[in-house]
Amino acid sequence: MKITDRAVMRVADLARLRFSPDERAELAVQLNRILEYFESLTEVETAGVEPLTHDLRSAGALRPDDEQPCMSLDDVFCNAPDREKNFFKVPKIIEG
Amino acid sequence: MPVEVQHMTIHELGTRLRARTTSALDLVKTVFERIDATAEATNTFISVCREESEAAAREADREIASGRFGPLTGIPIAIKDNICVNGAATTCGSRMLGQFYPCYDATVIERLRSGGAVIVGKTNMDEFAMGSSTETSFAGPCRNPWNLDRVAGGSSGGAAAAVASDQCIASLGTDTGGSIRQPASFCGVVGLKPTYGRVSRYGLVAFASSLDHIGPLTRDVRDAAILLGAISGNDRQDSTSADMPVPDFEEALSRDIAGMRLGIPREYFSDNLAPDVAAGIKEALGVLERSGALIRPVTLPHTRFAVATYYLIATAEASSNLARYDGVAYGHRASDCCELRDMYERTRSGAFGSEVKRRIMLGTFALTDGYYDAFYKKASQVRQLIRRDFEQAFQQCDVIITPTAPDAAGRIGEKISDPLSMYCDDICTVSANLAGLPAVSVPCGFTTQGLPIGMQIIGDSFQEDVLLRCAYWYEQQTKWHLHRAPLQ
Repeated sequence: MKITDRAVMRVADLARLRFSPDERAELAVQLNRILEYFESLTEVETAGVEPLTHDLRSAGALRPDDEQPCMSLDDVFCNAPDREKNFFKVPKIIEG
Repeated sequence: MPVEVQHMTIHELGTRLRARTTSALDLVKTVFERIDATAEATNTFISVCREESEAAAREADREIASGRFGPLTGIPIAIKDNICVNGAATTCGSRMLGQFYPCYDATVIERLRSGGAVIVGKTNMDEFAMGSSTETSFAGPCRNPWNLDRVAGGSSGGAAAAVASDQCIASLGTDTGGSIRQPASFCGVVGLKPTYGRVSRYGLVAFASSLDHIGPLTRDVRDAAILLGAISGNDRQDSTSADMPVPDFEEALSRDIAGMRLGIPREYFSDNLAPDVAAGIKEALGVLERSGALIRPVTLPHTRFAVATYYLIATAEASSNLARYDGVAYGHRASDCCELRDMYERTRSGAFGSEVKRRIMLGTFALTDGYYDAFYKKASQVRQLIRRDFEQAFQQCDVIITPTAPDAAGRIGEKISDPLSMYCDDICTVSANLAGLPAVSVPCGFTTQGLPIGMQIIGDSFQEDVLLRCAYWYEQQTKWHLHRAPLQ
């Protein structure tokens, strides 16, 4: 499998990362090498095998939907880059 | 002859503190003298908590005077910098969180504090726990106390180096693909990754949620048992936390290992193993056999797919977990952004290091339409097969013994430009994360160049007591843990 520059741009877009053309070229080489290595998994017979995502013993802890105390507003905003009253202030979205 | 309390273990200090031959305040001051003298050379700490630790030590001394104490009262402990400590910078070794101050304690920190432990500082680590050498940290590389030109291992390099250098009595690290065990083996200390769900992850900054674990790094196995017991247990704040009773891990050490069946998987003993490591493990197996344990060859046939499986799953989960770093509510925000998307891209591209960005790209790729089945789903299926390999093996043995790493610590700068080569060195450790099994690394000797070697013991789910018992017996027969790094 060969990762094209176009594919790198698409993935970078999804990941909200920005690279220079040189960085993209280097990434394409590195990603190609790594993904080639990952292709070894095609050798494994996995028909009918259930994917494992977590240990079932630990899953599914539920509680009644009751209001519980949580962080104070000041704590919520304690690391805010830009706070205005009780809002996180961010640059506007410009439709393009 | 001054008593060198900073060399001592949790259990030795417990006796002295309770007998009042040492005070917690004197102990933490001695530890800070050691930190001041040596921590710059090893670059162990991202931050230290001098005043807070002295206050905590004074409180511990008051508790001891009133007759209230537990095994951790007054004990100076270092914390890897991806575990939230209220009011202390928690940077994850990254510019992205360089000025992040959590307003809450991780559950493990709450448990340490209520046990009277004294938190001395936050240790250096690979950025967002992504690395095996503590070279990707924004704070610079952590150096190995046994040889300052060598890596301390990663991603919990600082946590391991701190214990090995006597800059703390014990530490907490995290392990997603080997990040407690491998630095423990490189630094000649004990490092334990519990069963998934044994220790709460609440307050641990997530890298890969199905693979992340918090665990102890200590001078000896008894200390690991004590610290594990203190942090284990169900936590309602972590929905993956297991509802399993916590045994007395220290009590488990006293039983002998006659008849214990040691599984030796042939796939972990290939020609890629450094000769010194192969020899060290062979010798260790001899010691265990002479103690009455039985050697059982086993096979873990899917081992050669473990690195690819791990890196596909871990990067996919990381791409999701690191999506939250967008400059909106906390962490770094790029300046002079006129538009929201520009802010996201410049914040993330400017504050993440290259290894983090590479892994986010890999993981995003593995999850994209058209590749999801071939990569992420396939890896999850192979993960199931890797887990089944262990289930089969544990029908014939009680623990599985392997090297912790194919070689001892490499030189700083040697591997950082070849990511795939670095990934492949994780071959001995990733399977325990994929299968959620407990595993410990114990010191088992040195290479001809004087670098520590580690032996890994893997146990069945929630059987930390069995693997601690095996580790303890080995340690007591060999005393490798009494060797000290020559750091002045």
